[in-house]
Amino acid sequence: MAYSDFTLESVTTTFGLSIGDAADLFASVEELAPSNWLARTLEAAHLARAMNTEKARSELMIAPFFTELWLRFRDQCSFFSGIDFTVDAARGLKGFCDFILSRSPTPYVLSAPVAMITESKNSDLPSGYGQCVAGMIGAKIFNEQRGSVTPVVFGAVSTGDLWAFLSLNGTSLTLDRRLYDIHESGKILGVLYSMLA
Amino acid sequence: MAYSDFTLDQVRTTFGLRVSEHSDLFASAAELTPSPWLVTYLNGSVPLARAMNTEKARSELIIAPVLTELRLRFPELCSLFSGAELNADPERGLRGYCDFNIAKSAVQHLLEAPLLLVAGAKNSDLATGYGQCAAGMMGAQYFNETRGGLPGAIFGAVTTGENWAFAKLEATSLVLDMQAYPINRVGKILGILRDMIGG
Repeated sequence: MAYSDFTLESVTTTFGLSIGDAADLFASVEELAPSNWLARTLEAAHLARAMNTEKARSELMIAPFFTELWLRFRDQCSFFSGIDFTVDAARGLKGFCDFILSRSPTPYVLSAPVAMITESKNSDLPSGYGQCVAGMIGAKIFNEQRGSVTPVVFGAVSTGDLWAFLSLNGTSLTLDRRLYDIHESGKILGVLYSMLA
Repeated sequence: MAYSDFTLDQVRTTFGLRVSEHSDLFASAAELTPSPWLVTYLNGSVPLARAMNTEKARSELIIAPVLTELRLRFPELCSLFSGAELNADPERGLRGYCDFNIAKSAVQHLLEAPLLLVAGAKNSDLATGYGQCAAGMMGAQYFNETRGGLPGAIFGAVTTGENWAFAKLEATSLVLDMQAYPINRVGKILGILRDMIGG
């Protein structure tokens, strides 16, 4: 058992989560205008759409958002791509995570994870929820083990074209009904940045 | 058996290749100045990928941007593929996924012959990547032959992002370049790639 084996049903049952949704979880978050660099990078997104592999979408559509955050706010955050994040192997909280956003500025060693981001398989957003939520629980426990209080852990599932956000407050999981399109890059960036607050 | 299972020696013996080395295979390749976009990208992303030290980060933050630059600058001459399946000759193990491919075609929606470059990402230790890369090059050669692509050289690259090494396959002759190019010579790397696509 590892993060990628969880479904939304199995993760909520296993960890006793209550599940709800919100019409617009980040309605109050302001847009953060993308830099010229990010705008130029996302102009190449059509290449990934044509290639239509998860790997290409990750490289050309998803990773650039985190690189942008790091380029602009590297004293406030770091991110991790494809690292092994084993927190509690006995309960299945182990395996590799697609992206982890951290409130710590050091990219060498993970500390203070605030958001787990999952690349969805085959452009099917809901298929990524289980893995994402399992990673969020891993992040919550990881922080607790280190004595840092993080009341809310965030999550995102992305196809590259579409982003869906989630939040976990204690054992209360909220799915955002509002989805974001890559053309709303300023809003996506704003939401990701707000998670670092 | 798939590309990733091959060692260099297995590729040589299975396909009867003659392997040789060249002291400086791309000595004549002129540099291609990287765009300001790529320079900005790599200034931030190279140290970041080094810190994360995963193959995934190296692919996303260094290798993909360099190859994307090539496609963006020469859209009529090449197409770029990341994570594409290349089942050229499954019975002989020439099957599986390639980290990156470049084809001499403007079409981006499907792999078309002729394939020119097969690139493999490694987190460390370039030498261990030659087997998979050479197997991928054999797959590309077979793909080209069976799709009526013009017979010609197939190139290979093994890279950590921070360091790039190249190879060339012509018929049954595999030539390994003894040079390795660090990413701070990205102009030379781009120049080599441009020469491969005939730009």
